[in-house]
Amino acid sequence: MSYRATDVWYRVWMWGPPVLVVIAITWGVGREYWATSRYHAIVDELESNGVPVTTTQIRDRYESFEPTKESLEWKELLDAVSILREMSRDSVAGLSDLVPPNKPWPAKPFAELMSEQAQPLLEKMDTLLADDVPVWSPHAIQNRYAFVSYHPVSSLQAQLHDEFRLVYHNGDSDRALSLIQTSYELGQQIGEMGGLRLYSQRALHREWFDVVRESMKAEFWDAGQLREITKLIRECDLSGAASDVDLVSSFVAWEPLKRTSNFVIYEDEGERSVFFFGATGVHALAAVEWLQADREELEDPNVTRKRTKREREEDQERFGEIVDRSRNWVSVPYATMNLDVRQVWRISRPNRLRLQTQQHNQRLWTLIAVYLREYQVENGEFPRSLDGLRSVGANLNDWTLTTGEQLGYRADSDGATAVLWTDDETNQPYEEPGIGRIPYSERTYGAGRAERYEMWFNSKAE
Amino acid sequence: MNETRLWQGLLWKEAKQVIPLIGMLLGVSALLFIVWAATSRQLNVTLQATGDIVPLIMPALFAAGAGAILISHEKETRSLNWLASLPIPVRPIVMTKFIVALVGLMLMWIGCWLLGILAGLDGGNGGPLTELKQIHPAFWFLHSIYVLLCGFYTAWRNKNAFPALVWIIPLALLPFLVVEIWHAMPFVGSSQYADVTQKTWVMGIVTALAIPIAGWFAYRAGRRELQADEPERLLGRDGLHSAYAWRPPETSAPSELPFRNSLTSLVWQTIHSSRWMSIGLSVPLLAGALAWLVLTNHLGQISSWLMVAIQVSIGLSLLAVSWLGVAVFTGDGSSGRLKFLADRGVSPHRAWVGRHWFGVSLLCGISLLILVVQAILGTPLSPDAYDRPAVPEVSLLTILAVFAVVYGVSQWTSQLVPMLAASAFLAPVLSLVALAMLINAGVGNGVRLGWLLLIAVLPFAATWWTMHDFMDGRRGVKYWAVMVGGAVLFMFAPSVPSTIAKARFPSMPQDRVAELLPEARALASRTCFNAIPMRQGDLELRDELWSPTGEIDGELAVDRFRQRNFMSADTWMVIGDQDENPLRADWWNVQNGFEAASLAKLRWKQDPDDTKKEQLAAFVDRLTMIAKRLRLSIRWYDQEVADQVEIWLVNNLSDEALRPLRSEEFFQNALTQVGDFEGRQAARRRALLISWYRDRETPMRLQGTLYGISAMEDWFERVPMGWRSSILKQGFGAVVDRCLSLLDKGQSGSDLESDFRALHVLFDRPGGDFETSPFADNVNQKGKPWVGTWTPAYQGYIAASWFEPWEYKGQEMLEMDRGEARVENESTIESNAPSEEEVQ
Repeated sequence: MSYRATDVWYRVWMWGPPVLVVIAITWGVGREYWATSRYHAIVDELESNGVPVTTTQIRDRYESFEPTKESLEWKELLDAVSILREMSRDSVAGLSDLVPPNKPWPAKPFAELMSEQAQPLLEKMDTLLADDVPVWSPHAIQNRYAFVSYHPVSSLQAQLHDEFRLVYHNGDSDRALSLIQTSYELGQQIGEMGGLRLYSQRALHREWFDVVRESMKAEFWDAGQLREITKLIRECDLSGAASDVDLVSSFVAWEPLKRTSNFVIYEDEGERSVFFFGATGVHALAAVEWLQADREELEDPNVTRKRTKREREEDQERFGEIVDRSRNWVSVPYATMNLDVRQVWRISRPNRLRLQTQQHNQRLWTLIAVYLREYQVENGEFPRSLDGLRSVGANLNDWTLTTGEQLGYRADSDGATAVLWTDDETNQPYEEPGIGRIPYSERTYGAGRAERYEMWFNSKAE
Repeated sequence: MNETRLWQGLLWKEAKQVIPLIGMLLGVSALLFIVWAATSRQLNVTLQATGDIVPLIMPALFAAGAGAILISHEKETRSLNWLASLPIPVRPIVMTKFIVALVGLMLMWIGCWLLGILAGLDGGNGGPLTELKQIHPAFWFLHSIYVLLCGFYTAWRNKNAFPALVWIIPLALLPFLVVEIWHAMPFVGSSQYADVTQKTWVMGIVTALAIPIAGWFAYRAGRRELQADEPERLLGRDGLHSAYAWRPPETSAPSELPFRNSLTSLVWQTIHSSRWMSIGLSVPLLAGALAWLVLTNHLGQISSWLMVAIQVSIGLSLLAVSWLGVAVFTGDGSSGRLKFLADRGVSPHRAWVGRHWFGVSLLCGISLLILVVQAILGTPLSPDAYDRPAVPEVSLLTILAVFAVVYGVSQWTSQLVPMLAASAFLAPVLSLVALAMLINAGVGNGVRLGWLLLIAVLPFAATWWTMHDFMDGRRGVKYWAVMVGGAVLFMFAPSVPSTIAKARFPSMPQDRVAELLPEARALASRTCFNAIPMRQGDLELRDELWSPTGEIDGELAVDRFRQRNFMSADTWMVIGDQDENPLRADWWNVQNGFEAASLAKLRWKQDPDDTKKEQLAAFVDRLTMIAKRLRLSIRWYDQEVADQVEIWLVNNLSDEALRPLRSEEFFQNALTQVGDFEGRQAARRRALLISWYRDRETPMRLQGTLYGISAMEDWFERVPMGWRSSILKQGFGAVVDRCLSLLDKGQSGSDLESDFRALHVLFDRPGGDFETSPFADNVNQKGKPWVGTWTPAYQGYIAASWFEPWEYKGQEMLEMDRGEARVENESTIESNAPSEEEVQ
């Protein structure tokens, strides 16, 4: 190689990297400015579309944010229920069991005492529900999410369910039905509370589903009552996301790009741990983009939980692209909107999606349990397969879970006993993935799952 | 020559050579200790724990560098050749060097031990280096002797200092390696569970055995080196060829276009002056980049050996970055070369740029390589959303900034200490300390990035400025002024922004302090701090039937329920019977009190019999007493809880359902409590002043004990962690000032909005907008119906319920009640008196 060529190569290697670095940094800074202005443009656009973008606007969106004289009566009632629940201080054997009428229930005296204590409160609750007074509990908007304690409301629901267990044991199915209806109504009322909707309503409905399902194990309801319950389950609206505090709203309202002074950066502890020098426009833009995509998916009623590896990878890719686009060359320290950043910004998509699909599957499982009992009440035996339920008004969609699989079901040859099981949401390494062909209690591994994901029906109360 | 004089002379010579290194290392240690002692309170536990190993590092550095200074340096200056040519025996030359180095090592140990005591390093446990710190210092002492001997051996064996230094690294790691291998042996048992003491013993024995071996090797290498050179072997007749005479000389012919004084030629020189070194520095850099990419892209568990390889590669690449900086001014013989350039009139700045270019290009290239590979690979995705790489991807600027700091400080060190043996070890330490300092300034003190980048440029500016003097070998006053000035600026500049921010942080104005302090002091001296805490009654019933885990049946549960007497105020709120003593609030108890009282009220409303009325009365009475006694407390927090109790009372007293009970004593007591507007303001003012005074007078270390008196933890949580604790008192002063002004204005009926808004900003906007903050309800209430909420959505803020409508409502209710009572009394009197008509 001649010296001339060497000289040229030296020049290329000398000048190349530094010049490229300067160009890259300039490009990165320019992109950061562009992204910041784009982010603000999006916020303005959202505002003009009526999406709340400040905490004040979020508050104004919910009428129930501010208490009224009437809604404070709820607060008083919930306070009273809360202390009443506090009075059940001993662990009483079998208190939370649903015991059929003809079986002994050692906890019954205490259940009766608590029921007697709760009567004034339940009467008050009936009045408030009848008057359609909105439920109220203190709200605060802290750190990017509306905070409200739903614990008091769940206490009231738990009290209702205790009452239900007593009435069930006493064999009073009319009163039992009315309690089930009241508990359902309470869950719906909570839905009107605003920021609570997504989590609290779901929590209340989950409890409700558990109780309803439990009551299907033994013969108790008549066909008409079962149809009433079916109607409630069918009515149950779980999409929720649309009326919740908009995910994008609660993100932009906290002004992720405005936390600085001239000399030092004032920032929340969590955010400082991922953005040493303040959040960047590129990441904020990606976050908004992510949240919007996330919301679209949550609002889609046909959303499914991905079971196969390929499906889940596809799902990841879609959001991975957003993360890749967020690669910022000039942010310190992190380049992309990685998991740490998302956690600090409370963008946890899988969690929300999991909640939503869980809820959906719970609902189907409960619905089918009711249909099975209805079929048994009408025909005197359980159907051979779930297809038999078409005669009582169910269809394939009702026993198809979000993974595309069908609920597990098996009945004895005489139709006197049946077992129904659902997705345990884990993939056991030693067995076929998904629901499988045999109930959990009969499997070699993880028979303990039977307690939560499997229910046995007997045609007659034992 | 007299043997004694010979030894004396040699010792004197060696001592003269090694004393600067000792002085410099001790100086740096002292500096590090001072910096550490000054900042360690602000540093997090990890860094603080790391600081404790500084005393161990300095002797180790000396041990590694001594050989290079005493031997390699002499080789470079050729004085060793001269020494070897003198008619003196070899043994004293070799031995004196070793003796001087050993004495120097002892001095280092003593010096660092003293400094450690002075700086108060406690050697406490915790942090990432716990296992390293558990190793007994005696082992490190032994190890430093071993390293010293290894350094001697490598220095004797290598022509240049740099390879000699590099070779020490594997030799020094040998005892650790032996121990790991030993513990991996099947007959020894798993190393994972071997305790540190056991490992230390094995390492100690290995090192002790290795010392004589290394010593013998070093001595032998020294003797060989100082022997007369072998004569050049003449080629035999067979080796000669007729053409041999025509072989061209080994140096290459002048080129057509030589690099004449251009930057390119300087770069060429940097690379080729020691090709070995250029390769030796580039390879670890590449390996480090590769390891980094694996670390940021590998999903799932990384096997432990791979993790070790990654850590070692990244560590070595950082060392390479530092040595790249060192090579700028202290690379093999570079100071001599620079002088050569200076003699030929090359501009110092041109030489500066030329010396830097290779390093800068290499580092830029490595950063770009990481960026490009990462962009091609994309973000690692896994089907499981929570599976992520061990370290998230960092940005180009972050990598460049880390390189700039490490490289910049290293090149600065190398210009300051133009002795490779010393700067090669000093530079990595100093650059890591500088990096830690800048990161701490950014993360801990919230200093802006731009400011830190400016500081990172300082070392480059310093060497640029002094290049002229350095090239000429003139290190005069100006040179040292720039160097020292630069160092001081580098050390203190990172804290400038936080110092300014601290000074500008709101506080109580001095004249207000002067005005309020005597009053606060007088109030505080008159009050005792004997507040009585609240508690619950015995709800667990620890009797013979009680069992902590066992379940009981329904009958027994009913019995126990009845024993507890839940509808008594004493079950939920025990406050003692000293009615004149202040109470210390417990929000949980108060909340239970509200709930139980609500239950009593609902039960009474459903079935208004006398028992239920008495139960309700007892609860209301207890709450009234709680409010009254909380008002006596000197904690501002108790005043806030008292507000909540009074809000509950106002809310319930104004309930139409309770109207029939108006004439009852409990009702009247409660009414008196909530109607006392003036008394409430006086209690708040008194509590504020005393809280402020106590907070002011309490030493910093006892701050945590003053819950409800000092500022709450989350008030100033957006202030960077590094200096938050230092503004708590100042900030609390500002809050108290604002609250006192609120009290004055509130009593005179002026507009309060501006003060509440200022308070909201002072607490760094809790709840976002003012309209959704804890203070939103305190203003803008005109025209809205009053609704009292007694469980605050935001806990722990001062003045959160001040001058809300409930205060006026309480006052109004009391006045109305007294007014009605008066009217009733008057009408009774009137009805008793004969009317005019009757008279007529």
